[in-house]
Amino acid sequence: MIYSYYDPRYSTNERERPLTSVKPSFALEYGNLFNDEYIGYKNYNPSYPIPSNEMDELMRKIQEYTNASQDLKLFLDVNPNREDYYNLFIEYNRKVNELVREYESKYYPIFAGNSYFINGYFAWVTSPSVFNKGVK
Amino acid sequence: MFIYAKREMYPIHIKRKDVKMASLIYAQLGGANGELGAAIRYFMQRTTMPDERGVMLLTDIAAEELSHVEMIQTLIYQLTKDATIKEMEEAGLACSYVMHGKGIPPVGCDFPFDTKGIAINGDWKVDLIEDMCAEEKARITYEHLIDLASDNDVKNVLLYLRQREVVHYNRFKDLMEVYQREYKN
Repeated sequence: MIYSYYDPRYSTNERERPLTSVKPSFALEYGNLFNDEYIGYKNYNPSYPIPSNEMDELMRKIQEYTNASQDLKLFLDVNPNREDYYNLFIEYNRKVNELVREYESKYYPIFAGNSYFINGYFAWVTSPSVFNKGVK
Repeated sequence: MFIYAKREMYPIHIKRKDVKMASLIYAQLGGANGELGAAIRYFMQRTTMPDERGVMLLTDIAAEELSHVEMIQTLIYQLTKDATIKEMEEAGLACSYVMHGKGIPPVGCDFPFDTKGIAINGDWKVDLIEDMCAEEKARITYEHLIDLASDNDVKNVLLYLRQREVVHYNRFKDLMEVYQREYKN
């Protein structure tokens, strides 16, 4: 088969799934944005990770919108002409950017490119790694 | 290129040491159904997808799987960081200690990491069937781990990761249906 870029003119495939109301917090608590995709295991109930301070609370919001945005991106990869999904994807990404800016200005850099130089150090290497966060 | 973020998809704060559980969770690090194999499988399959939809779906899921590698590494690290040598020995990690100390090698809980599980078939239909199977095998491996876990902090992370396998399966299935309609192969 000859490789080709996706050409919307020949598309016949868009999935009919309507974009119903979704909540970013569901994407963090349950692991998926679209609630009709959730499949539980036995009688286990997913648990929203309760924040223990203001920094955690802001990070939870970042995780909610980032996870929601990830599911919209995967859906759009397969259904690239769904403008309703795209509009929500853009809205959530703007929210992520706002929240990341707020988090980085108050606490630590999340991206190296947004890092600052403070007290004689590159802040990227003074903030805790993912595997060390919350660990004493 | 990839841009690294100091941010996990689901927070991991394990308070209780459990070396035995960590030794089992290795299954999802370098095991046959593990996250490392998944990331490599999808990333390397990309070039023979028929168009950019398949390329980007595989790329985006591969990148997410790499973030899951980090989450599994975090789980193992936090479950074992305070373990004594005796506790590692009792949990079946004596050989791991001999070879790697307290480091976390990319191995499974039964066998070392092996590229035999990373199927690159060069055919979109075969590869997508492989990927759907891989997500299902990863889902059931998480279920077996949840069955054996006793700490809710661990179970919650495993439940989250299990559901991600369901989402990935669904997207691969969507793509498969689209390609079958359009490419009639």
